[in-house]
Amino acid sequence: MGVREILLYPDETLSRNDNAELDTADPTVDQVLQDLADTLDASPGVALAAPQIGHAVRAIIVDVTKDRKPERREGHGRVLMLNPIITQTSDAYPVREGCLSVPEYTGNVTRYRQAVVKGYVPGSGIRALHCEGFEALAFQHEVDHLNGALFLDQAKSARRNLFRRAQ
Amino acid sequence: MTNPRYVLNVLGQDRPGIVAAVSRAMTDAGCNIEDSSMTMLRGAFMMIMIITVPMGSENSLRTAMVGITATQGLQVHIDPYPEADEGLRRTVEGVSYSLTLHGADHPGIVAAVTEMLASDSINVVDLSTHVVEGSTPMYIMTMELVVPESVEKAGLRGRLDKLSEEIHCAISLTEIETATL
Repeated sequence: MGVREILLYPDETLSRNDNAELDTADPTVDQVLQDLADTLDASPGVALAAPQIGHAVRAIIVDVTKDRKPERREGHGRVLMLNPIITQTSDAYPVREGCLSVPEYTGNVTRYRQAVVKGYVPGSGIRALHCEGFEALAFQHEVDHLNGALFLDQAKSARRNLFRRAQ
Repeated sequence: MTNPRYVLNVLGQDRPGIVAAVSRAMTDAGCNIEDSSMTMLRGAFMMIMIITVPMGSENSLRTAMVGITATQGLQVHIDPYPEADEGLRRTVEGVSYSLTLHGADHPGIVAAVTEMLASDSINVVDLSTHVVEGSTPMYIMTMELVVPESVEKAGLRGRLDKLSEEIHCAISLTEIETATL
């Protein structure tokens, strides 16, 4: 099992914008992917990025089938992706996001209802996934992590854009 | 023992440098600014700050604020912060909604809407109102609400629609989508 600790803000690993591209032939990649899958299974969230578990590399996992709301579970199921990039977006909307690495707060951010995410999917090669709704939101959030960005970076007003969760 | 908290209210005519002057005076008095909110209402400067004051330094804070009042021409008011009594603390739980309202300005709009919300135990967590001057002054209100899970949403919308007709204002209610990732 590779359940790792989820790093919490302000851990500096979360703010790094130099996370390394992964060589898909690198044998250490399997361990990163296993850690992502095991840690996600042990967490209440639906997605994780490698920097959140201490790997400064560009890999993510998204699995919206884990969400407690049935209407959010549609999409591509469990996706592990290396070197993902968002290649297209459309239909921006406001949403209040929380993050496993910033557990005490939620914040207002702007996301896109549709997004195309391109990257290497183990077993399938380079894929471009057309995502919508909650799954599109999850991919945007995780790709932000690879670039060292948190929802806190989008807060224009602490009072109107950041909210402490009910204790 | 933790340092006591105070609430500082500052108001006056706006001009550059007020926040700098107030925050410098507080820093020099050994105080720490925690949560704060500053805005302009009808061109006037309004600021509320929650500050912690080192034990025994309350007088130096008050002396600093007297100085600010004199030199900056501001009204400053200091009160003890009402620390939550854990035994009485009410957790705000439920679904977040944004409510927007607009219509011709007349007295009683805020009271009518908030009384209706209070009757459903809905908590208003943010509120701002604005009068847009013109031949017919227009009133705009935005609120963020926390609606208890027990409140039936169709019924709430129905009551707001009815109120909308009674007070001649358009009211819209939108759930704030929240996602933890």
